[in-house]
Amino acid sequence: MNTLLLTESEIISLIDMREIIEICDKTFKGMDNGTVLNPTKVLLDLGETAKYPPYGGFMNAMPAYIGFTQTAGIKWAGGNVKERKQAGLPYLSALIILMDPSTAIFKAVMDGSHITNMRTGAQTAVALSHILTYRKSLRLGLFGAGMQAHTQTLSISNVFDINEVRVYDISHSAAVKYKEDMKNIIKGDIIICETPQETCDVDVIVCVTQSKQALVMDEWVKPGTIVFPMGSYQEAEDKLIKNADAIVVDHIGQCLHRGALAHAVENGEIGETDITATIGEIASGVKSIGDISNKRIICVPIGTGAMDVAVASIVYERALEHGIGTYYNFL
Amino acid sequence: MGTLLLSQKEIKSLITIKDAVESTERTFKCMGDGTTINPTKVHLDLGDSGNNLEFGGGMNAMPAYVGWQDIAGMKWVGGRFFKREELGMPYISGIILLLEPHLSEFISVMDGAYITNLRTGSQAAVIIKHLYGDRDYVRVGFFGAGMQCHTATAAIAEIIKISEVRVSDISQTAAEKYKNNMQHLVDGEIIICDNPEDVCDVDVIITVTAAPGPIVMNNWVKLGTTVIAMGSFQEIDIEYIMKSDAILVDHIDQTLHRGALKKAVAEGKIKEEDIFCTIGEWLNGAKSIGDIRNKRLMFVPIGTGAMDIALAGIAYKHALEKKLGFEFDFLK
Repeated sequence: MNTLLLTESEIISLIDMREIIEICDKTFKGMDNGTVLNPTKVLLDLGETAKYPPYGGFMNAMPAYIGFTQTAGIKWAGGNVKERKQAGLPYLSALIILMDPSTAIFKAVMDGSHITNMRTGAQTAVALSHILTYRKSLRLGLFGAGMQAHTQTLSISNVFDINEVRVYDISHSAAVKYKEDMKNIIKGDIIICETPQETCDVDVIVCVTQSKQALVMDEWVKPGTIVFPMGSYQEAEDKLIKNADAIVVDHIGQCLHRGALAHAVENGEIGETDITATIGEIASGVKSIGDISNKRIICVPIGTGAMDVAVASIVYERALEHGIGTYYNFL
Repeated sequence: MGTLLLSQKEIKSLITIKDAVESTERTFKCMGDGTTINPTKVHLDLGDSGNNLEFGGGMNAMPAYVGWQDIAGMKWVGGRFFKREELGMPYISGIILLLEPHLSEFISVMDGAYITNLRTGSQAAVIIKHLYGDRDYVRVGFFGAGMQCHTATAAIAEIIKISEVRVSDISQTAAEKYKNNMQHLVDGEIIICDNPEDVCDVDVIITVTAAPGPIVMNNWVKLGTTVIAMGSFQEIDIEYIMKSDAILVDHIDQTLHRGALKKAVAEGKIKEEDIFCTIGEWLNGAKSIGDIRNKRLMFVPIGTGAMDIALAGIAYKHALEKKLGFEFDFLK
């Protein structure tokens, strides 16, 4: 009846990006064929948009069942832009709980922040690997140069050669730090852009900001470009979303109410029928986007608990094999 | 930054039934005045609600912010797992996370099963206190003699004398075990009823079963009786729900989609406007039920995360005072 506790550094030692990409790929396929269950996450607003309570934060409860590891689990995770930011703490705080679905015994409680950051990067790499099937290299544009920009770059570099990165951040020092940190992972140059527009002259645009205003404008995005607005808010202009040739999402129910598409849905610019495919459908070959050289694609992997629980369940198995972690009996 | 881990055994030593009843009453009121935030719970169906998984059970994620303690948290809890029954394990499995909302730091992870049982029983006690509190005693009928029946009895005994209990369970052993365990808290007799209709000859009928279909029928319930349906499924005859004089719920959105009212709502027999008000609004005096002697009432406290987080917050506070628990740093 003992529950295994795992810390962030233990988790880092147990799994790497390449493995997380493989797990996410399998999980996307499982979401399509019904062996992975992922109800729509439930939000607790702690002042992110609500006036009360006034803490500038939120928490999402994200349960899932993973058939291929026979594990149920939940991540409770959220961000905070007020006192947490002032205290110099990371934006994200998260814990993951794993459960044996037959006995409902809690197998593990572990840090969720590292897995969240890594799987968020991995989701992009998996989606790209199934959309850009005919490409081995690409040019990457990044809005935001923080932690998520690092993991996005790392994950994409596991699947493609990155010939060039164009990065834009409202904080110049963040962009400089990103360039310094990532120069060995990129084959070509990392260009720190002065304007959002020049950042868009790439094959793949990834937005990882907390911006509540649109950053990527319709007229800047050329045919053959895939745009990933990854943030919780509206990073891609509604006009671009409306004019896109295809919209790909990880979870339809969730993407209509939160993240990049929510604003366009609320204003009636797009609806459920405008969603071309899920990443799961593309990954398992049920649907295809085809040749994208004349298309502009919007891809929104807003993040599902399934990814977190799947990765965490593999981390748990590894921890058992290696004898890592601390046991605690909650009963 | 450490997170305090608390075991069920420690929690039992940290909170009393009295704590639970007080915490539950205050949290109901704060749900009524809007200082407690409680989104609708999200269900993970592992076989209990229609999908084909073989486990039988299901898990609810129940986050909440409790203003009167300035604390956030989430309970993940479930039951009805076939394997647990086979192995003789308790029906419910649960875990609670507490979050300090200023810095969004996890301050505690603790067992959630005991708190669930305690606060569920307390919900019935709070309702009875406000309906029957002016009387000297109350007669209670239970459907289901399991853990939640035990805690409900203990919680009710905390606020009023129980002059008689009538109990029915599909397991005779469970009913006898309950009688032995709880007799000391009941002033009169605990009567084990073979006929479910006999259980209904009381002031308050409480259902705490996992029964999927109706076990309390409309024509069994007399005037002056209150039915409190606490199960996750549909234990009450829809005819009673429709003919009752007032329906009060803990959380409108949630009770329309889960628990006692679910089927009646799905069949269009009960609508949102048929709900008299929430328990919180009623406790705050926003609406009055009036003289209950000629009424038959229907209460649906299906359970909210807010109740759990509030009581967990008290356990955490008491643990700090008594220096109990195991400190663990997840960010090491």
